Amino acid sequence: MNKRYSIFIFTFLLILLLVGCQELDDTTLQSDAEGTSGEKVISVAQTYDIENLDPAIINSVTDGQVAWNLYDSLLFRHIETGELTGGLAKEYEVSDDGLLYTFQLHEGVQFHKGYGEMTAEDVKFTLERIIDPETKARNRQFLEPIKEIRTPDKYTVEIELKRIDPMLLDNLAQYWTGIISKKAVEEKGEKFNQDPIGTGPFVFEKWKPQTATMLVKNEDWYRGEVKVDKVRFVPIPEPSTMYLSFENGDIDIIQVSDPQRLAQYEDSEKFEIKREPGYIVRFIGINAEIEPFNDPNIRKAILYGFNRKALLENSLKNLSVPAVGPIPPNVEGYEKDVTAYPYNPEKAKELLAEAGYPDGFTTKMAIPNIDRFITPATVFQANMKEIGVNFELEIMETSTYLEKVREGAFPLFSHSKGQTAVPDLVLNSLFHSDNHAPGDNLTMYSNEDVDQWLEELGTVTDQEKRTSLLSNIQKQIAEDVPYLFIDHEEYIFATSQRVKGFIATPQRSLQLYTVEISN
Amino acid sequence: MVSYITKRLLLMIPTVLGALTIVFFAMHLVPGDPAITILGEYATEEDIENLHEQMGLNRPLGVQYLTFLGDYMTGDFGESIRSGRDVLSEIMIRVPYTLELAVASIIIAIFIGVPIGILAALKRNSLLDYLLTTISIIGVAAPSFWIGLILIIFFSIQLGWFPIISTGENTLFNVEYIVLPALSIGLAMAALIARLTRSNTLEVLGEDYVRTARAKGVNESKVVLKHVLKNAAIPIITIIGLYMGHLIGGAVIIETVFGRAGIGKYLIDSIYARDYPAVQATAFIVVVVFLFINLIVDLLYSLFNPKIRY
Repeated sequence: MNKRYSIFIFTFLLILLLVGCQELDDTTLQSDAEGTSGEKVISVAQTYDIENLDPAIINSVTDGQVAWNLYDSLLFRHIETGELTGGLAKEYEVSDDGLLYTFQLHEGVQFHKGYGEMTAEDVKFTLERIIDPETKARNRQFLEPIKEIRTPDKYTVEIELKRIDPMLLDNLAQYWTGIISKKAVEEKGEKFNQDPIGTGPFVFEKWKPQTATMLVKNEDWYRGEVKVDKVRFVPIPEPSTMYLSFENGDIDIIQVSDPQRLAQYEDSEKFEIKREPGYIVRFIGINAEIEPFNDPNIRKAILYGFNRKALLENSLKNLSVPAVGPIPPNVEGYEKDVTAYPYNPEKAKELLAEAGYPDGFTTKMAIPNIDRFITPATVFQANMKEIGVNFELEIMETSTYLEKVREGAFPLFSHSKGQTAVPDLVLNSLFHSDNHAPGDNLTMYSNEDVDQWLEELGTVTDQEKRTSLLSNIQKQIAEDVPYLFIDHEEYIFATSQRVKGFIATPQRSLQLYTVEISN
Repeated sequence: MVSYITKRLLLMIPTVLGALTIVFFAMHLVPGDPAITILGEYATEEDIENLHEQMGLNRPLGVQYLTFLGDYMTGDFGESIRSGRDVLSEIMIRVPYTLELAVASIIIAIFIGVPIGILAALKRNSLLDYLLTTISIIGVAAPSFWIGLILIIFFSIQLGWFPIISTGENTLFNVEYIVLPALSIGLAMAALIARLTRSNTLEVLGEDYVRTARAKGVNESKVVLKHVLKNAAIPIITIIGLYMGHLIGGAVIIETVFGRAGIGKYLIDSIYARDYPAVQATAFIVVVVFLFINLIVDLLYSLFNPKIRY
């Protein structure tokens, strides 16, 4: 065969092979975005693409934000008031010993796409599926206190606990306990995460990688009318592109983390800003097992040497709330009356000298390669140099960072911890001595009183008693200084003018059932 | 020819095997645990241990490696740790986007770079030559993400000609979505091709056969196209082949700027999440495509230079 022809045929066959790999789909998400016949379509930017929409095994904020719109849970936390009320369970009772919860379900709530009525069987199935280790549910630990789930009739669910669990009700109002259709899971198997069935305000329509995830309005939502017809979640990893798309009107809702853009949007009449302090704390951890940080005076010197006011005002442009401890002001049991360590470099040097380090010392610090940790750490590094504590900042990719910190390779480190409206789990994981690294207590903090209070906290539901225990814990932590708590970051969103009723939430949930579009 | 292609195809096997081995050990030796990616920060040690056992991560590395090779032999590429979906189908959804971008960028680069290079060579040391050379130096130096953002501001925002987010639904021939990303990469490549074409053309212009052709009275355009360009083409084809291979896995910055789907971005995200099956399968696909492109480039040599025979 002629040489030229063979080369062309070879190349042609190769191209055919590769083109053949393409999944053909003649629907277009882009044309959906414009909406047909006056449909109200809202576009929301997210940093990452959707990976998994099975509520039990979701492990990213992005997937969670979509899931909040697809599922309803037994209980419901109002995004406007923060009040916890009945959700799919119209009412519930708790036994006197606090170990038996009885939920009465709404009747007639329908699953999406004709999967039938939501009943007690689905609730039992959903929760037991999370508890089953085979499911590999990320939040399995949260439902560990459940002993048994019973369904005396079609609309009644009884949850019996092994021990009192003050977090149970809050957990039953999260997206990951969103009730899913037993029939759909059995039918779809592992593919459920690609075509999820819940009862929420929006119904999953389709997902195209790195293009968009489309949801359509649930016409029969049990809580009332949903006011937009479609929601389009668009992954835009590059912040500049995201801001430009928003300013250009292609996107309706974005999260803003750039202070300059925020100032620009605040001044413009074309955009609206919604902000809410997050259930999150950003901190610098101090490993108390590594010398010289085993001396509390050294840790206190570190706190006195840190000019937080300057960091928050100048570098972080007041986009966060200063932290006095691990619990944000909008979470149960927040105690603000704790020992404070205001910026005082002289005092810091005195403490260092008393501890035997008049000339300071050299140490190590690691942080993940993420902007929101790099800026505070750089300021902290400069502050520390002034009091004679010198270190090189090692910036590493997140998985590597966590492994190194767990191994105790770095006495100083910095990241953040997201939480919920009930602080028990986060306090336990950060401060109980049973959770020393490789658990989440990475500072290796240990205090018998705190351990005891934490254990007691897990057994009481009486609010006064809980407040007192939470106060004790926070005061003691402030004395022992295992962490330098920096701030609670605000979740700031910008919306285009045509969007009304969007509410920013402390969990960044992006729930859109309140949103309307004015054309 | 056929025996040459067969030989090359057989030689791909050890190359692919070598690449897979390096990727496997590199991924398993860097810190980071996929079990924590799946189970999250509140997972108990017991749950993590159980998952290690389920995933076979507690077995000796050598055993894991042999199992991995065995799975690949039987065409089992595994499931993504993050999404639970079959990794091969995850990759194949993204491959057309990447190929489309690579091909479009190269077409742009050739159509801009080659004429500029020839023109600059023919008008050597003229004002036009200096101008074109300066522009191509800027083109080589400018980062593609910067060019991308400038293109977005000018063509999408000011003129409104193209969408900002550049993943269209119907991947192939979707001109509207491909122009800006392809230009961002293609312009930088065009600059390099222009410089290469200029220097090769200059070299060939000094050859005896060009002088002979001119002396015979062959008209100038025929001299350039038939004698000069054809002989200057081989180094240009080589660089195009290398670029094409590089773009298959390395277009991640432009994919990020334009929010495009593609295997480059998928690979990087998978590495961060320690999604072993996804990283290994993507590396496999990238290596295979790269090897095929190299084979095509080698075959193309013989079209331009009859002295090269297979």
